[in-house]
Amino acid sequence: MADGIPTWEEVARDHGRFLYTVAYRLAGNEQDAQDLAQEALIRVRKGLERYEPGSLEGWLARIVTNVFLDEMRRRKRRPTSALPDDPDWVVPPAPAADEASHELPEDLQAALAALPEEFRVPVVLCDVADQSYEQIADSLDIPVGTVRSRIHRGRRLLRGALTPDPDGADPDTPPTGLEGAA
Amino acid sequence: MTEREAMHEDALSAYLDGELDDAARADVEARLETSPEWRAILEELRETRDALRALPAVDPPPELWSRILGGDDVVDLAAARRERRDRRSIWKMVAAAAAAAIVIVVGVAAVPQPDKVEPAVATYADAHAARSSLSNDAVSSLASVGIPGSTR
Repeated sequence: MADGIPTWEEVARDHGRFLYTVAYRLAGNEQDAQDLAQEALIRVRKGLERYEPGSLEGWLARIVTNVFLDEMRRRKRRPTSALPDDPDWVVPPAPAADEASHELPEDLQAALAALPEEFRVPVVLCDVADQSYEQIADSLDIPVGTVRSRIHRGRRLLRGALTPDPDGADPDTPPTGLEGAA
Repeated sequence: MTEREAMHEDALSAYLDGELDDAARADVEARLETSPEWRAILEELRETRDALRALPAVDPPPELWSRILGGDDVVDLAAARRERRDRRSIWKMVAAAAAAAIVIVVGVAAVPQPDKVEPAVATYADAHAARSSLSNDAVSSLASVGIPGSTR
């Protein structure tokens, strides 16, 4: 590492797991996560010269997010394969009542993958990549207030997807009164 | 409506994440003291956020790192996958175009055609020529010459 700038190999070795984890939580499956991680590392290699020492993981999270959003846009233009981010809100089946008290990671991952992209991305950046609202707003080029409302709504939707409704109401009905700045 | 009543529920997530300034945090805490509903929502949010943050880090398959650290193959792998997707898309478009062409051809063939009405050009021309030969009208004579076969 020279002048606080890591080499590409150091990034891949020391932060590859972080980058892959963010990619996996965004993409929702292994194959797409691998593609995202590869493409992100290619961009990292090209962009290292311009990297200004600071939050390296914040920079990596931003790059992998941009790769993810680029891929989503590309697939929407040419929908050739199933997307995890169908614009229609699809909720995985809620677990049985006696299973709901402690979410299993796979249930949570499935619910996360089914969350619309506009909520999933800020939630992942906040709760997986540990980014501040300001960093997320900067990465996504949206106001901080929008980040705040999307994170909140995303968490509420996840909660709704993971909690069985005893009245049998449609679980995909967003909680009321949650319309925010988004 | 007071400022407190207008406070949006998403302040709870920001409160949980330590994203509020002192004044806003005090507002949320005052609201929490008086609102069981807000306390319940906060608890649910805390559980969901904690579950998300407890999701384990994911290790990529070992061969991914060797491919990535190996160099140029990285580009080739992602590009090849994309190319395969695009190729499938092209074949789908070709198949759709072929199907559309068949539908059009069959549709045209199936539509009943009206009885053929062909102008009896030769008949009219011959009649015209016959009239012009009687009248010796120069213009009519020229017109009849213009229709091949009319003077045979």
